[in-house]
Amino acid sequence: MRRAATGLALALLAAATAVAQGEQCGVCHPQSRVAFDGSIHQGEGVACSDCHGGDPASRELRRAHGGDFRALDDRLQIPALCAECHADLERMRPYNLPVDQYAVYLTSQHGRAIGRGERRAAICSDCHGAHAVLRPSDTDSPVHPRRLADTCGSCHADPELAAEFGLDPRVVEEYRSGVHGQSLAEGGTTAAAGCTSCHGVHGAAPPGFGDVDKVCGGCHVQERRAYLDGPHHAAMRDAGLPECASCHEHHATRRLAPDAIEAMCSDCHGAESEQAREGERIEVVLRTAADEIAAAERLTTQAARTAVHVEDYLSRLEEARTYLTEGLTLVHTVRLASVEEMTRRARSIGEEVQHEIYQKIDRRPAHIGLVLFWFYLVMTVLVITVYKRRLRASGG
Amino acid sequence: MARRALDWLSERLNLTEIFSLLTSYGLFYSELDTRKPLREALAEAAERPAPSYARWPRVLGMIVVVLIGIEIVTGSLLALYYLPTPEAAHASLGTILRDVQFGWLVHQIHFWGAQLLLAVLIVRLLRFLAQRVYRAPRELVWVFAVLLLLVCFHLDLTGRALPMTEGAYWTSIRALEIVGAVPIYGSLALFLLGGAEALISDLTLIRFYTLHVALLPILAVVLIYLHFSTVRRVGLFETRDEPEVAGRLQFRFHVANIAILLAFLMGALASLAVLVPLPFLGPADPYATPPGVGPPWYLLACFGFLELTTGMLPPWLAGGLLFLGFTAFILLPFLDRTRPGAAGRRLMLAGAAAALVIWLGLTLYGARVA
Amino acid sequence: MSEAEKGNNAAAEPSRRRFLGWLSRGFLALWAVGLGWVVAAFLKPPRSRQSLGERVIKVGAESDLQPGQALLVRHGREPIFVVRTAAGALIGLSGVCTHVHCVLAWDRQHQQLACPCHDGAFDLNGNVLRGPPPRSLQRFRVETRLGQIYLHL
Repeated sequence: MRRAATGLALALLAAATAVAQGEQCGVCHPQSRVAFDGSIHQGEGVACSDCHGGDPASRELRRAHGGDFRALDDRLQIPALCAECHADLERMRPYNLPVDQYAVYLTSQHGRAIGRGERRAAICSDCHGAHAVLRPSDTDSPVHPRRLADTCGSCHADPELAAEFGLDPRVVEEYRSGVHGQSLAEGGTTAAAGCTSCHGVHGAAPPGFGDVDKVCGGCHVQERRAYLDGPHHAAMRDAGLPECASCHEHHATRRLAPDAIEAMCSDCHGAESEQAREGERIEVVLRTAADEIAAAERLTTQAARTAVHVEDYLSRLEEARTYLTEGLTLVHTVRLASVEEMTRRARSIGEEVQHEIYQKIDRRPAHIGLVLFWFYLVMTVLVITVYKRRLRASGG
Repeated sequence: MARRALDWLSERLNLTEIFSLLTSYGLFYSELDTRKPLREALAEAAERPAPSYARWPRVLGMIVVVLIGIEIVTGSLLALYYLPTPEAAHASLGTILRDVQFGWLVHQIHFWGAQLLLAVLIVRLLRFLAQRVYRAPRELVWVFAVLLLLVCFHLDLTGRALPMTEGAYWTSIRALEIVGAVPIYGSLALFLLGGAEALISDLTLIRFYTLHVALLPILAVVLIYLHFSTVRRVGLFETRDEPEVAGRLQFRFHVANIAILLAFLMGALASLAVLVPLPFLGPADPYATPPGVGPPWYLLACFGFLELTTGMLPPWLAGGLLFLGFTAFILLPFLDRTRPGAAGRRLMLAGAAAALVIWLGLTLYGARVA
Repeated sequence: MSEAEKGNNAAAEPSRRRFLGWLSRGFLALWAVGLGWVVAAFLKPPRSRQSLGERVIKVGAESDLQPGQALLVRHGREPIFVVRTAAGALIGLSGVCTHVHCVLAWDRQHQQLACPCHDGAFDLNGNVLRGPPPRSLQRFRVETRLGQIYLHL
């Protein structure tokens, strides 16, 4: 109610300003006017008539909607309409916007479908909005990273549409359950991969086989380097197997804990295979290093309470954790030797720290000292008692 | 050699008078002729049978004096390294605990000595109560003893804040809440501490420090002096069933007993320091309250009382009752209307037992709430 | 105790008595010794314990220090010289004369550290070349990483 009232007030205000500017559309179309006034096009010299034509100065329907007026109710027209400005280098130069996006769009699955005359394919306004076009970094924008999955999902999670086009409607839900979707949902960095990170933005299309490692490797650089270094890359490409997704899934991307490695190896190579055993060995070295670091951390916390300088240990453990992370990255080489080189460093730092702290928080010297102190004390009391007895015996 | 040096000094310095100061602090109770040289006066005192403080139940008074001595010595040592500013306090305690040799031992003994001191003072008051030691003409013995306990509470309270560890900081905040709840005294104390909002600022810390290392110790020493002055004036309290002779000892025995007491006290403190060390917590963070921080143990009863009465009584009334309770406790000798004799003693014993049970109950309740 | 009895006891076992007496006295005196030792150890100022970051300090860029030049590092209480020898090696030397703690000066011409107070001098190994200094200079570890000179205190 209140929103409507505010909207109306804004509309009246807009109408009033528009009257002053000689633009009268908002008088009959207040909602469109309000939406447009909040968009990035407002104030950039874009007028209603630039897209819709007609006579904006007139309030008379026939004149206003006369001449070259376009209702823009045909979805097939829209991409070309936007491209009138957005593919124009002269116009886009001051905004530093790329002008090739329309061309890119035409190569995408969406663009090609539009080309075929398929009206349900996504057009510009489906993702960016029609009148209320916002910057992608605006949190209200449908293409803001945290809202992107909803926007794509409005079509791609629709079972009927998906069935008709031979797509899988579960991908959006799967994506949301994966590490990237979770991270975005929990308020993590907006740099986490969204739909467009892998499928392309305006040129949306699924990545092909053999390209998956490139797509993922765009962010996961070290993992990709390790993967290319190992035997899996060539073998999986030759066998036509999905690369990263074989272990980490396509949309429901998951982080694999070290103790899942052996199971992963057995999945393809079989439980009794040499590869599964190698995986188990990798798993063991990673786990021992992680345990060693965790134990050293616990000990450091304990030592901090008993007056030991722990700053050096904390920085050394930070180093150890870095080695462990590097070791986890090198799992993608599936070579024990590579992983072990890192885990050995991590483990030895953890062991050193533990050893040094144990030496420092050892209470045994204090306990031995206490026992000696009491021994001496009891002896003293005995000496004094003997003295007292002698005093008494000699008639005190 | 030593004897000749003593004689040489005695001719130039009234050593006997200096020594007699010890009697003012309850270390020794006997008449000393201060006009005579020390050796002669001591020989005289040694021949005269004298009551021993280092025996139950008077040993409690003795322990108080010895513990205060230990606190002063260890406190002076700690003050050599401690820096009383909010930024440096925690780090300087770290220096004491980690880098200074035996620093941890001195610190732990200072802490445990204080806890022991408070416990002994409380037990001692209970004994006074049970045996009605406070009756005329010993009213002032009681008053000074209670005041000494209050001063020692404040010593502990101000001392707890000094390390600026997270435990120390928040314990002090909780304690200041309770102090602030007591009507007249509370607002006065908070005003004097410079933190009317019960917050520990740099101003508050230096005031805590000054109170802890100078004003309160002096007050405690003065109170002990006054306390034992009244004892010397009105004589030791002796119950009727106490055999006269058994409590009286030669001076040398007395010194030997003091030595034994001192040895066991040191043993107890060293054991507590090594076996139950106070943990060294991280620096105080005024923006994060660690869970489970309550007021110090001796304030738990007051805390429990205040918690129990929230909702039932308006805060000013609850605080006022606490204030009245303390005042009545101090002025007990003048309020006690029970008759002398066994019947009156039984009545008072029952009253003391009831008070003790209530105190313990409130302490347990306070501990559970905190 | 009367004087007569005391005399009798002493006559009976004089040496043993006296020995035991001194033994127990010595035993009790150990308390004072122990207490004094604890207090003395407590009073001894501790060596300042710094973290790794405080023990290693960045002196400057390697390129700023030409062979034959020296740099006085002002850090903490004790000045330290970082010298690049003609051969190019880096040396860290205490900048305080071991004689009466005057701060040394770098004599580039003779490639030595000279003391302005009593004309003492040290070579680049910290050894005394001439004058009154009783000991050689303390040396510090210097290393270079990524073109920067680091001094280990």
